[in-house]
Order: sequence, then structure tokens, then C-alpha cells
Amino acid sequence: MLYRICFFLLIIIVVPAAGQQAPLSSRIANYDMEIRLDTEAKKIYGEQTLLWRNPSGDTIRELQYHLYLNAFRNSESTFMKERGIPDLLADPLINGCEWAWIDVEKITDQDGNDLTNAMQYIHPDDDNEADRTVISVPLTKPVLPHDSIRVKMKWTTRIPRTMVRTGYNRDYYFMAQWFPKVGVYEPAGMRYATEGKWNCHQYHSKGEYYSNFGVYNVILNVPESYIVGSSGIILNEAIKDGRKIVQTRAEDVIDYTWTASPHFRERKEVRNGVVMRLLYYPEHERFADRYFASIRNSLEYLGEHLMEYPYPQLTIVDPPYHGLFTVGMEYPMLITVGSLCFLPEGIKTTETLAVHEFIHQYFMQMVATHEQEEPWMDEGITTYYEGRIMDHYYGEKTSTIDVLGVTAGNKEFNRIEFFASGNERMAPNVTYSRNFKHGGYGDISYNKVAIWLETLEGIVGVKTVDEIMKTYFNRWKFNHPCRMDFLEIANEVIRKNHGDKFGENMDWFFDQVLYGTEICDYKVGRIRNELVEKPIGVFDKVGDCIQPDEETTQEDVFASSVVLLRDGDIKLPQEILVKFDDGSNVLEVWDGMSKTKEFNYKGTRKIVSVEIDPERKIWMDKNFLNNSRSVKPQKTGVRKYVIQFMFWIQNAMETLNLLV
Amino acid sequence: MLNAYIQGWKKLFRCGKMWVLLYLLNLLFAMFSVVPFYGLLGDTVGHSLGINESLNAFDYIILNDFLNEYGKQFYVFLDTSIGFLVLFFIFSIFLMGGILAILKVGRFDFASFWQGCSKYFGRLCRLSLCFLLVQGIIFGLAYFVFVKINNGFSPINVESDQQFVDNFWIVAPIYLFLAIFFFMLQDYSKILMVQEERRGVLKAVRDAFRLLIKNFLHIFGLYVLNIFTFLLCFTIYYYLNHLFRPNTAFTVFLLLLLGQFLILARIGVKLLNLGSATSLLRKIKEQNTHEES
Repeated sequence: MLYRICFFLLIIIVVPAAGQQAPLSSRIANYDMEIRLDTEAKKIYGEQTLLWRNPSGDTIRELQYHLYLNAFRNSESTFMKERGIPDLLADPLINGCEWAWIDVEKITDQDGNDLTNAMQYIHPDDDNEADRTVISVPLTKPVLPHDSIRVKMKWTTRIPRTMVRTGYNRDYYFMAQWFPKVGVYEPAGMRYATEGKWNCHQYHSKGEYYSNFGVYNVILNVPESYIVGSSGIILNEAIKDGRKIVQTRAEDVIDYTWTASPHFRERKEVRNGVVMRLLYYPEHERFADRYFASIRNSLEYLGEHLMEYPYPQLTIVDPPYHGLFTVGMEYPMLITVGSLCFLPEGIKTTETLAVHEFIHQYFMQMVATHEQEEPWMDEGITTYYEGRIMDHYYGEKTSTIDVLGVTAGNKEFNRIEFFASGNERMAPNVTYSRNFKHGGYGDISYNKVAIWLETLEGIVGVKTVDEIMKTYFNRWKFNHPCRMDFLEIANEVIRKNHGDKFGENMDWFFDQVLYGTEICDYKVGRIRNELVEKPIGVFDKVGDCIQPDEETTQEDVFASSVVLLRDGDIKLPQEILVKFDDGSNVLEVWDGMSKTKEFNYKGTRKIVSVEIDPERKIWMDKNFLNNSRSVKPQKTGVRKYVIQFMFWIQNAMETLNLLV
Repeated sequence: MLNAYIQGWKKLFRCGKMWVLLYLLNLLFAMFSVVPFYGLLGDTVGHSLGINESLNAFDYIILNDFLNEYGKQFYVFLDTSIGFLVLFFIFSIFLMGGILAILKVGRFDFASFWQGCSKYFGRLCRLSLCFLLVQGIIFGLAYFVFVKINNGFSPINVESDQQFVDNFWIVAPIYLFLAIFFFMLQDYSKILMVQEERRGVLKAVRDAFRLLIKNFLHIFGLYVLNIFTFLLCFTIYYYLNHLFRPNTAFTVFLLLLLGQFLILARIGVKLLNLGSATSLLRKIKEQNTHEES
């Protein structure tokens, strides 16, 4: 009897679990939506039901929603004030009044209470009364701790012309940040919250994501000829009254995006059970294989280093030229890539964009950080992995440019972009994206982070960095970490692997790179080899005087020295390779703290050259050229460049001669 | 046409000294930019191991670190070099008179060369400025047409990037043909001005235009032949340049020689073009006189 009861209990527990996979995320914000696209009026009519679960022990008396599309409502929105009216759209906006908006017509709760009139626009980030990108909806019946609420909403959207990330142009539609999306309620202890509060920023011109995970059941109603792509998967497509009804579902995602066009062509590939669905315009057929290869490579690399891609599908959208402003964006289970027909194959933006946007599935979509508050955790880590993947699969020296002998690797390119930007000191990495008011957002949030993570690799080793990233990813996937969580894991892993080698923790490093704005530049100041005068005078026997010109069998002795300088304010440990004329080498270590450092040697050998960081581990160093110095001038190299320069000048002169 | 081409070669070798002289002048002008650049490189990165390490392949980091660190000084040289280019352009107009005067007599001597330089400078200057303007207008026109048929470059207005490619292949050959046409017109105008001692630019251009239209196939054919001669030289240069990597003192010296070969070839083709055109013009004139008589 006991066996029977046990068997029965086993059946009850195991069978449903085997048939249904446990949710990947906490599924706090879940949407059921019915959407109708009106291509004539350029409008969307939407009805949605939000099932929101209170993640806290607090009683919630209001909900806050993003109404992102109101950023394009007028010239006074915070978005427009920060960015200005885009030049290319000035005419349609100013003269054609093609402003876009989202208008919430009705809100009711699960008990049928009408909340519409209580709704009010709020502006938590500034005092801009004209900004309507966030609403507060006071609830008639509060949501009790860990309880749920269903809120129905009916709304209409006037779609903008494609400008930033979203909109339409001709019959291409790309709908991102398009529906009333509930903000994130942060209970005390979550990220930086000391008490429960809504985190629901207005729409700014830089940075966008921060949402809870959830399930989206979306029915898209579009003209019959349109082909649709979306976050999640398409469950069903049917034609009804000359309209196409597309039923989609996305699970455990933080957002939902979709696109539609009658001109899309479709190609699919499957890798390890993941369907890669590519939507593209006919003229971009030639890029399809390159996109698939990029995504295959990324799936493989990230599967190996972080985790296998857990979703069943990835939709890759290659927008047409007239949808250029939607190129290069990341959304859950959907990315936009981009290529231009006239670019030579050796310019690898096609691959770079695809790889970059795909990495965002991990950093932003699965590890759902706050892009507006901590853009570096999203874009910076993604750029770091972009460099690793691109250089791994397309060559360290050729992964970004490989045209007519001019080459650049991705890591190289990102480093140069940062140092050539002139924005190196503009702001620290911990700056909110909207506070990069005078430039430097991309340079600092993207490239600088990639550079300092590569530098961290150089200091603690790539294996340790891999372990940091893997631990960070797995501990925080389908959750919302902040930088403190990352730093805690970094310190934990480094200490586990290296003990006290780098001090009690790595704060000395992160304080400089994350919170600081200084630059790193070490250089070789001078090298000296001075002949040590042989001793002269009377030594052992009185009367035996050694004179300066006297021949001795002793070899010349040199006092050699090298002076190293720290030109920047970032202090990092350095290795120094000193080479001598007898072929011997010495590898010195310098903690890099002092402004200058001198190494002295005495013996029969002379220093030939000195090189700081010979293996280029400190990728943050601004100038690799001054990292080394040889006693003899490097004539061959100098002559080569001078000869090439001369050749260009002579050719330019002869070309001008054509006009004579 | 072929006869004129052969005559052109003969003239080129008969005036070998002029060829060398023009090459040396080109080198001299280049030196005004190159010598300070050599100093800059030597002073700034001349002792850096990075310079020699970058010899094996194009080094994006070394190039950009140099520009980041010493860009201001480098761009001063670049600006100065552009100044020298303008000076050289004016000087080339001056030299053109000498070149044409020598091709007229078919034998080089310094006195005639310099005399020709000074004698024809004024009129050739006017002609060059005139055609500079014309070439500018053609380029501007081609650009305008390209932009117009594409409906601009804005993604708001342009449907597909493929149309840039398609339209480029329509506009570029037309532009190229027009540019070549006016280059030929300029060549024959200046030859006429020197050969027939004409002072008026417009009259010379008008006569050259008539000549060009009347004998278009011959003149164009000869021009294409000369272009092919240059392309042949360039192909040889390109092939040889890819045979070795300039990473030792010897191969860097080879690089120098090869580069100078191409410059010499460019100057040679320029003289070949003018020499053969002079011969063709003479032939046409003779034919016309014969027909008239």
C-alpha cells in the first residue's frame, strides 16, 4: 500500500514537471495584447491586459507606466529637448505636423473600476511639465504584498516616422518602445533602493531599458500582404477579412518588439535547436549568409563562455535603407542588424552589428541591468564581448577592417575610437546615460568599458575574467543586478583565484576605471649606458700605480639605467622588459604607483632597449608608441614611413598635374 | 593613331633629359614636405620599438597612437604639404610651356626649355584656370545629378541603398567620359597655343574643340592608348609591390625604387601623351592642308 501511495505521489509531482519547463524568470509583468495596425492612418489601436505581480512586501497604491511614444508628441518633450528635432525630420514634423503620440483612452482594473480619470502624467527626472512619457495610475484597490492585479488598457498610437529606434517609413514598420509598459517597482534592498519605490524614468535621448520579466501574448492584426517579425515566436497566422492575424508569444522577456513590411523576405536556419529567422529586403539577400554566420559564431561563443541561448528563436531584422534609423538595436529575442550595399566586404559592420546586438540577449535581456542608470553594464560589457567574439572568429588584426591592406581588429578599433574621441575624461562610467550632456556617451559607456575589461584580463588573466563573467551571468540571469553586484563577484572570484596578490580587493582598480576619469599612459623616459671609469691610482703595492691609459685585461663596465615615467593618473602594475647587448633580457615588475621609476644595472652589458608592458596587457595605455625605447634609432621603420609619405606627396603632385 | 603613339615614344626618348629634369623637380618639391616629416618621425617615435615592429603589416594601433599623440604636429606638415601642392600646381603650369616648346622642336636643350616656360606661362595659366573651373563644374554637375536621381542621401527619402550602386554605375561612366573629353580638349588647346603661337585662350579652345569633334575617334583612341600605357605601368608596380614586404633595410630601399619607378612612369606617360598628341595634331594639320590644296 505504501508503495502505491509513493508511486501515486511520484506521478503527481514528476509528470507535470517533466511536461512543462519551469519559468526562467519571476514573470512580474505579463501582457496580453491585441494590436491592429492601420497603415493608412499610420496608427495602432491597442488593447492590453497587464497582469502585474507585486514583488514586494509593500502595499502598492499606484502603478507607473512608460508612454515612450509621447517623446515624439511635440518639441517640448524631454527627449526632444535633449536631442533637438532631428534635421532630417524637421520638415515633416514642423510643416507636416507628423508628430507622434500614444493616447490612453481607458484604464480599468480587474474589478471593473475605471481608473482613467485618476491617471496623471508625472516627470520623475525633471520639471518638464510638457513631458508625457510617464503616467501614474492610482489604484482604487491597492495591490497587497505579493498579490497580483490585472489592469486593462485601451490606447491609440500615432506612429512616428522612423527616427530613433522606432516608427515607419514607406511601408516598413518597426515598433519598439511602443506600448504602455509598466515601470519596475523596486522593493527595499533591490539595487540601490532603500525603500520600496517605482523606478520609471522618462524617455531620454540616450538609454532606454529597464523592465521586469514577463510573458507577452500578443495578437498582431496587419494587412494581409505584410510579413511580421516579433519578439518570441509566432504561434499561428491566419487570414481574416483581408487582414493577417498573427498570434505570438514571448516568455521570460523584458520587452516586446515587432516589425512588419510587405517586402520582407524570410530565411531560417537552425543551430542547436535555436531557430534563427532572418527578415530582410531583397537587395540585402547577399548579406544573409554573413548574418547567419555571425549569429552562429555568437551562439557558440556565448554558449561556451556564459550559457546556451535559452530561447527557442531569434529574429534577425535587416531594415531597408529607408528604415536606417532602426538599424543596430537589441530587443528580447529580436535584433536589428544593418548593411549597406556599397560597402566592401572587408568593412565588417555587417558582422559587428549582428554580433553586438546578439550579445545584448545576454547583457540587458537576460541580465537585465538598468540602461539609463548604468549604461556601462549593458553596452560596455556587450562591447567587450563583441571584441572577443569578432577577434576570435574574424582575426585579431582583421575583424573590423580588411580592405586593400588596411586592417584593424575589433579591440584595436574600439580602443582607438575611445582615445581618438577626445572624450576620455568627459565623465566616469557610473554616469546616468542622460547626463552625458556634452558627448562621450558612446565612448565611455561602450568603448572605455571594453578597454578596462581587457586591461583587467591583462592583470588577473583571461581565465579569471571568464570566471567573473560566468559567475556574474549565472548568478544574475533573469534578474536585475547593479554595479555593486558585479564588483562583489569580481572581488570574490579574484580573491579566490589569486588570494592577496592584488590586495584585499580590486577596489584600487575599479575606483580608477569605473569611478574615475583619468587616463593611463606609461612611457620610457630615458636609457643610459655610462662607462664606469676604471679605478686608477695605487692599490695593492706601493709603487704600482694604475694609470688611465694603461691597458688592462678587464672588460669595460657600464652603469646602465632606465627611467620610466607615469604620464597619466591611472596607476596600474607594469611589466618591463629590458634587453641587453649580450642578448640577455630582464623582466622587471613595477607597481606603477610613483610618477617615475628607475632601474639600474652595472656590468659589462649595455641596455639595448626597454619596453613597458611588452605583451600589451594594459590595453588602457593611451600610447603604445612611447611604451618602448631603443638606444639606436629605428631607422628602417622611420625610413619606410617617410618613403611612403614621399610617394603619396609625389603622386598627389602628379595627379594635380592632370589639371595643367 | 598608332603612328602618333610611336612618334610619342620616340619624342619621349629623344627628350630623355627633360623627363629626368621633370622627375627631379617633382622630387625636389616633395622633399620640402618630406624632410621635415623625417625630422618629426625621428624626434617623436624614432626610438620606439613599435615603429620597427609595425613593418610586417599595416598596424592600426601604431598609426593611430601616432596621430593621437603627435597629430597636431603631423597635420601642420600635412597643411604645409598642401601649400606646396598648390605651389607645385602653379609651377607645373610654368613647366608646361617648356615641355610643349621642346615637343614642338623635338629636341631638348635647357635654354629653349626655360624660354618656353616663361614665354607661355601667362596664356597657359589662363587656360589651366579655365579648365580647372570646367572640371570643377563637371564634377559638381555629376555629383548634383547623382544626388538628384537618388533623391538625396537621407533615409527618409531614399528607398534603397542598392540604388546608390545602380546610379553610380550610370553617372560615373558619363562623368568619366566628360572629364576625359575636357582633358583632351585642354591638351589640344595648349598644344595649339604653343604650336601655332596663339595668345587667345577661347580661340584655341574653339579650334581644339572643332578638331576634337572632327577627329574624335583618332584623338580618343590615342588617349585611351596612353591611359592603357599608364595602367600597364601601374599593374607592373602593383605586382612588384606585392612581391615583397618592406621590413628590412634592403626591402625598404626596394620600396623606394619601386615608388620612384611609378613616379617616373607617370611623368613619362604625361610626356608620351603630349608628344603623341603633338604628332597626331601635326598629322591632322598636314592632312587638312593636303586636302585643301
